[in-house]
Amino acid sequence: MAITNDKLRSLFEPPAQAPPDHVIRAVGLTKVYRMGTEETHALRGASMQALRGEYLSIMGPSGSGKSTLFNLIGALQKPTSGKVYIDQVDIAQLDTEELAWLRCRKIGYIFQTFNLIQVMTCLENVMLPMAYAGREAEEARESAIRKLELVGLGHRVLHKPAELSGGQQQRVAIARAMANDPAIILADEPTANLDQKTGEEMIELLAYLKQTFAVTIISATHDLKMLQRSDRILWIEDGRIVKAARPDDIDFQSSEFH
Amino acid sequence: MSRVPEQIDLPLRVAATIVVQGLRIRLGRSLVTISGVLLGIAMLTATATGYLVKDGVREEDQIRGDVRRMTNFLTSELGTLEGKSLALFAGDEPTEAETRLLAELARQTQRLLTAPDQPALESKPLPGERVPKAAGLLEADACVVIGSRAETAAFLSQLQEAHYGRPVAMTRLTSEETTPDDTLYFLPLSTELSEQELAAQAAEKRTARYRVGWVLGIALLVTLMGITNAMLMSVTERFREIGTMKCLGATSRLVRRIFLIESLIVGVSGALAGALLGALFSLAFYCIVYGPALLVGSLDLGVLALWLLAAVLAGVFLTIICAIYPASVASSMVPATALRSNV
Ligand SMILES: Nc1ncnc2c1ncn2[C@@H]1O[C@H](COP(=O)(O)OP(=O)(O)OP(=O)(O)O)[C@@H](O)[C@H]1O
Ligand SMILES: [Mg+2]
Repeated sequence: MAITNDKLRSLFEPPAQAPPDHVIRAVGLTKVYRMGTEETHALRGASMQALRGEYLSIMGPSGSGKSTLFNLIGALQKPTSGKVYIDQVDIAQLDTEELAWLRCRKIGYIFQTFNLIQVMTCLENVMLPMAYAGREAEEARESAIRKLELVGLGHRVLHKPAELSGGQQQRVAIARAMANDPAIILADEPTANLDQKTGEEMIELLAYLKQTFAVTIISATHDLKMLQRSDRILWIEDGRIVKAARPDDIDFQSSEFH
Repeated sequence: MSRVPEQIDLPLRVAATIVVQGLRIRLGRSLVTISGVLLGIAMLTATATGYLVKDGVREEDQIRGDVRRMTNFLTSELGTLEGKSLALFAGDEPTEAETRLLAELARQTQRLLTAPDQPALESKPLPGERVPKAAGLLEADACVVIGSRAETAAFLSQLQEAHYGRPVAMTRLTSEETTPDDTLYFLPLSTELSEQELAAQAAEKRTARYRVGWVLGIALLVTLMGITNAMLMSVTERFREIGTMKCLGATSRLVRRIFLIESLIVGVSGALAGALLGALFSLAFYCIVYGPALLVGSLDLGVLALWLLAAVLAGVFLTIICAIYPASVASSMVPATALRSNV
């Protein structure tokens, strides 16, 4: 009996290095910024994984490299060394078109400063990634309205970002991040520019999205509420991931959090 | 997932829609950019139109001076032209000045008699009534002859034979060309320019051309700077927005295309409006300076239209050229870097 090609191949190829439920895997990431002669080592060999559907928080002091890590795993810039796998694909192998596809459909980004396009209405902001995905305008419009309703802004679709509160703007940003139903949402300190109550609403919204749509949420934060809500917490210090823990195993009363 | 498909390439139509939407949405800002192009091209066309007008007016001025001089010569010889009758003969096609002189004479005198059998009259009939025979001309108080002595020799000899004693005004005869023993009473209407005067005129023309080139060059430079500045501003102030767009899945090609289409729209509308405004402004200005009659009489609309077309094309071309550099910078930016910029 002939051995099938697939069988043969599986005998010679090494087994997949990561279990298939790792939606993001970063291995030994380093990033060096050069400004003239001065070098800043923003990351010094950070490794991490995110499970599919997980709510992962990343914590660390200012300047420890959180934003840099986000930019690298979000395919917004290239590491000096190390690898990033998104859905088992090494993103260093992708060309610019493929990266654009990835950013468009796979990942939704949420920023501390919202980064809405000020001259566009909420609706247009949410429709933008849909336009890039080549979706038909009428369908995109309806879908965008549904996304805005999802984040509780169904009554504000035609407002400009400047006419909204910070919390509302961040909701628009979340709706925009969800525009093409991504598998991953990357949120870099999404509550840092919001007051406590609005921040909590944002955390609940993200938790709801995780529950309802099984999106993987990775968020950098100092926010205690957010840490408590997450499935897993990573600590980053001086460009390295130094610790991982579940919220249940952590004493949130300790001095570290105050 | 084992393979990442390419981001689909949005058709030009979609890119154009995004651009138009963007332009409409940030109308205020687009108007500033457009007005940058507009001002540049307006400056260029205003300068060019100014030269065109002044050139035309100078020519027109020359013609009017010639007509005035010739009429003055005639009146100083004949007294007032009112009630006089004049005989006309053309041995050659009348020039613009001569045509106007004849029109002026037709207006002032009572009768104009036109000699028969004039070869030059096929294309441009002279004013006045035609007399059937050359003899009829002898009644006139004076003869006005267009052409040099050689060109009108036959007619002049007819007059000589008839012992015509009244003035024979020759439009192309200078006083140097008459001799005391001429049997006809010649009235030379032309003035010969001296050698030096001719040289001076040529030199004047040459320097005028240099001056025009120089001023137009400066205007072009100012235009170029205005447009570059407008386009650079419109791109650099949107670095952050470009970063956001790339995060949301815009390809570099789309970003570049968006900026190029935008520059095309900005260029065409700015250049069109600028050319029209510049020309109108310049025309209005010279209308006040020279008066509407002289302006309308001297303006060559065909040449003006050609100039405007050239200015519009130059504007569109410059705008696109000026947009290519910032557009390629913008499109090749790493998203993280673009997001960090705080312009
Ligand atoms: N584009 C850049 N050029 C130069 N240095 C940079 C750049 N981006 C980040 N850095 C440096 O890298 C280090 C890590 O920065 P990063 O923004 O990743 O920190 P962070 O953990 O996000 O801090 P914060 O909590 O304040 O946002 C810092 O020392 C920062 O100054
Ligand atoms: Mg940061």
